Amino acid sequence: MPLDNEPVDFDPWARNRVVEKRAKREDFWERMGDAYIALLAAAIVFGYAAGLALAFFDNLRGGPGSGIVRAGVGVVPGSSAASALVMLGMLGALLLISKLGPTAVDRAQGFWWLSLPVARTGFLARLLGQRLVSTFLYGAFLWLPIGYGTVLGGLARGSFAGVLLGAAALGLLFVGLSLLAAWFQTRQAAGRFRAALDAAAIAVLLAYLFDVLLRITGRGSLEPLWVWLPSSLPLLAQAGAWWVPAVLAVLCAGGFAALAGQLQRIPGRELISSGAASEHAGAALALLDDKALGSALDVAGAREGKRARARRERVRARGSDSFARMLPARWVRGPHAALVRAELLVLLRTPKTWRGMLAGWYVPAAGVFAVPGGQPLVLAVLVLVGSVLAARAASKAAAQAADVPSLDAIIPLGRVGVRQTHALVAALLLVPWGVCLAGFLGWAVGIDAAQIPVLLGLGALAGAGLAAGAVRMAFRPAIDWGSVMLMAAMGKAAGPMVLHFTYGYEVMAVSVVALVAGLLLAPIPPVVLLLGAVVAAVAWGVGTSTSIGSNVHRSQR
Amino acid sequence: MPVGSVKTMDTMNRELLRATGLVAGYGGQDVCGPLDLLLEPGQALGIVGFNAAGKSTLLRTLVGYQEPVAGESVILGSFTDDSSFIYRKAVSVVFDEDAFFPSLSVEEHLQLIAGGHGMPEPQAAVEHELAFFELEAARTEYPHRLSSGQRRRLLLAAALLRPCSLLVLDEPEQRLDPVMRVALAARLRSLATAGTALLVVTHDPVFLATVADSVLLVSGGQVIPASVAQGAAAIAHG
Repeated sequence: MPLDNEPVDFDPWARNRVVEKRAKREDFWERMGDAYIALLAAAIVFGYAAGLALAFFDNLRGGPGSGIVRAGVGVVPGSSAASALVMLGMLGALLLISKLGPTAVDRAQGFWWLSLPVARTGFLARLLGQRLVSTFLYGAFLWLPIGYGTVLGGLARGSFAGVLLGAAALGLLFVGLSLLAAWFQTRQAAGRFRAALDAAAIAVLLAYLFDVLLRITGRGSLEPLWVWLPSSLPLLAQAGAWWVPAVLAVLCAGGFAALAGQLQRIPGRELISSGAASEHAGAALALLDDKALGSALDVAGAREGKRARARRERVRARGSDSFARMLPARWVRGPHAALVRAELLVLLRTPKTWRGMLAGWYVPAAGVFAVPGGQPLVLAVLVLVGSVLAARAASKAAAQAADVPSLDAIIPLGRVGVRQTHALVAALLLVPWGVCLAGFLGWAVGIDAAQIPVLLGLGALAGAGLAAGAVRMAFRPAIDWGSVMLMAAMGKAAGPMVLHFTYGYEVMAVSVVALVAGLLLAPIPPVVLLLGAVVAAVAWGVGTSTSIGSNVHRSQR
Repeated sequence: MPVGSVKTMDTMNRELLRATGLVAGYGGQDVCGPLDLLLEPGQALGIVGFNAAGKSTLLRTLVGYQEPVAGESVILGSFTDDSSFIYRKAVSVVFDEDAFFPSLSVEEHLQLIAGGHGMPEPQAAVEHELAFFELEAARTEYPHRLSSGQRRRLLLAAALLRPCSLLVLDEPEQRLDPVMRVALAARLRSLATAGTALLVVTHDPVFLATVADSVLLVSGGQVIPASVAQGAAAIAHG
């Protein structure tokens, strides 16, 4: 039989339409119920987010100049810092979008559809379209609390309609960025695209530091850069520039039309691997599991580049890498030392460790150089955010061990012993990290030289507490949804759920209290140092404990 | 001490594993059992049955990796799970799941085990396992770079490298080539002869015949003691 080489059109939805229609009729009220719950959840989340944003921006309105940072340090205007921050957020969102597709198929679609000798363009365009709609909604919804917070807090011009225009602009920006990512998929260059995004993010970070340098030395500024970044578009729309979302909508529609015909060029393996990452991330999101979500995003899109291949070949030729030679196995005596060596090797080789710890320094530092960063609340939030970033990075090895319980079981240490060893390894990184952060913040607030050792001590204690908190977070037990549902029926689920989501973070937050108090109360009363020591000891005990005092968590094996 | 031999422990005079009225299952639902069992040092017990019969569930429950639906299983007279370091010192376990640090090489995983268990000549023990499992060329590779068969070999090397009183293996022959299966079976047999107790789930009748000296047949929710010949026949013919 001769082979026909012309691919036929394929519309899997048309094939299932009759069945779907029947199912839709039968499920109508169920779907209405789901929609009602989704809207209610969205409204509740929006209420909380808008309230927090309003309180935060209202605090900022308290007035620059009343901050604790010494004169001449807080030089970058809040609007410029916000533009840089939103730009980084957009690059992060684009990286996320690129890791998850945006054009992707799930496992079943990959197996049953991609293997058919049919034209893929139609169903890929439809799948991409569905993704773009949800991306728009995420972007728009994200802007609502920010917009209302800035308008009601008096930090930005705008009205109710203006906030909606800003939301539409951010949603459409996200759609445009998704289309850009999809275009790189069609050119089989998604990896290079992600590398370019990384480079762009680093460029923004360096530009911000350069701007700080220019302003502090009085040699000008990079103000035009921050004004002309695309991240300023939602703010522009919010101020009443209706043409911003209109132009973006036209560009997005044109981009989608131009791109749809080229989706056939995306290789099946790219579609399937993006789909697998999306499924993993989606499942984590549905279960509200931020740990699993982080793991899914870490793995997504990870491919070995040329440099990594060359490095692997060098290591193979030499028998070990420089880290292994720094920590030779012959030094190991006993299970604690063996685990410490293994985890240090894991951390040293994981680029995310270094990136996370640098980000942990960068966030409070960048904030301190911005005008609003001198506000005590803002400074405290920045120190906390930076500390969480650094602590999560320093506990990567513990998190890997927590994901695979049998890793901990392979050496003869009890669970508490293993947990304490994990915390010790994290503390080896976080104590010096905390000392450096405290030193910088001490300089920024102009603390007296005689008080510096005390402040450094507070930084070290904060590092130890953060290490314990990070290990606690890494070993957060899985949630028992059966118990949650039972408690929800009695109206008692909210408290335990909050405890679940703050598991580990609460210890981290408490651990930096003494450091922040030291900055605010300078000259530092001796009792603050005592408080720091007590908090670090308690944090260590709680963070390395293996007992579970919650009735919504499954017991750990 | 030769590599892989049994380290004498003060726990050796205790009962290694005793199961009493043990019913294995999930979420309160029985899968198989009840089972009464006393495992002695040097005993090699094979567990056989068809897919989904509950062999792995039974194995996990026996060694405390899963809570029983009814009854109990006690290791070394006191332990019902692996939280104690004494248990971890005495029991070596390989289930059918990958358990690796993504950025630790093959050799470094084995060094972790050898150092962690205080082996007197850790690097020599590591080299022995690398040679036995033919992983020498892959010693600097990270786990994700290995083939599934090599990952299986690495897990088995980690389990056999360290001293233990009870070795627990879930389908160790999976993903191994025939030559390695034969070598592994012979090595497990010699370990049992030297005094290590073995609990092995397998689908390979030849492997079972080489390694085991008694069998538990899991079928239709029942756990039936059987001879090795009966177990091998059950695998081959149903």
